[in-house]
Amino acid sequence: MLKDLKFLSKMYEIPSIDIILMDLNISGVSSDIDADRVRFNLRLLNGELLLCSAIKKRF
Amino acid sequence: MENYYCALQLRRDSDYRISEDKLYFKNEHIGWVNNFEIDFCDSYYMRRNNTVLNINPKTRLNCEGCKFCYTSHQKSRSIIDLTIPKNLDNFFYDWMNLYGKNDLSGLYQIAVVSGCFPNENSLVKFLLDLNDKVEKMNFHGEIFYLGSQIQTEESLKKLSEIPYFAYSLSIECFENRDKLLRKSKSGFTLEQIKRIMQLSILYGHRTNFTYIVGLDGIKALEEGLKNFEKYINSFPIFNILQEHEYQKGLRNYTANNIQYYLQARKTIEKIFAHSSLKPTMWEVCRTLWYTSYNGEKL
Ligand code: SF4
Repeated sequence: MLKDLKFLSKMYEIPSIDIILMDLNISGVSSDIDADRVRFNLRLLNGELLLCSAIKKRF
Repeated sequence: MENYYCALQLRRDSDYRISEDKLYFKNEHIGWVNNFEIDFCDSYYMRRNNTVLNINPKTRLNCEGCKFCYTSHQKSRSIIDLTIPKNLDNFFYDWMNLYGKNDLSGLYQIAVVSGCFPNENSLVKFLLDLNDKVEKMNFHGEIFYLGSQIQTEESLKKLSEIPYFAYSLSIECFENRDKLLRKSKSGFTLEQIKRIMQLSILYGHRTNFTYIVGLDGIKALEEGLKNFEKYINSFPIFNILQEHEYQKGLRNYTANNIQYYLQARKTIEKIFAHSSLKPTMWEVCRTLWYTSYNGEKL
């Protein structure tokens, strides 16, 4: 749960936001659009805690 | 909170999903999305608040051979051969019109990102012609070339005519170069690249290289970077490998988890800890660094 992202963030001393953005680049994204690639501007939810609790069981 | 520019591969199996203006992780809403569009490979695009102009003078849509490359799969809205002088003139006039500018004095950099010139001479000629043209349009910034087609001292010398020239060598990986890169790129060996980078610095050019994180094992990454860090005068461009649907299995077998990338980031920070070089945020959208570098805020 929450602790996985927090744990990695602590262990590697890398902010959770950076970890999520890296993971997004590794995983890519799904969408209904018919293409191989998409681009966009992203504003992540405000607050590390909120993000950590949303990204459960990821790593 | 900051806005991050993302250019991503579409993967049906991803845990991240975009629906309307929201980004979800599984079913959890984690962010807001705007300016969502297909990632076209056009003849130009802007960066750094419209002060950096990236041009694709020779369309890369027909370039193939590097296993990690996706440009030949991309769609384009505009294919213009900018190596034809008249097209290049028209391109700049159209650009100034579109952006409401009288000249190019507001541009910080013009970036030429292409490995698709027929040969080294035609590339050098294009860069020199480009410089002549934009100087007359009041451009005082840097001309940046990303690729690996400048391979001789003679070319580097000729390019010294450009007041501010930068060369980013597309090294991309240290292992399995024969398998992963197109022939014209892998034929330019790491030892030859080193020599050219050394000379590039001697001729006064800003010099670095591009590297794709996810192709090599961590040990090869570490050894390769230690070997090359003496031959640069600006921070390398590190891109995370984006594996598209049609490229499944391309990643190094050790790079299929987030820990590999976290480890890569720490390793790189350690190698460059003694230097003042740092990543430039606007230059790379699939970077390893977003809010901090080596414990310092970016
Ligand atoms: S040289 Fe390689 S990376 Fe560059 S456009 Fe061609 S295939 Fe893609």
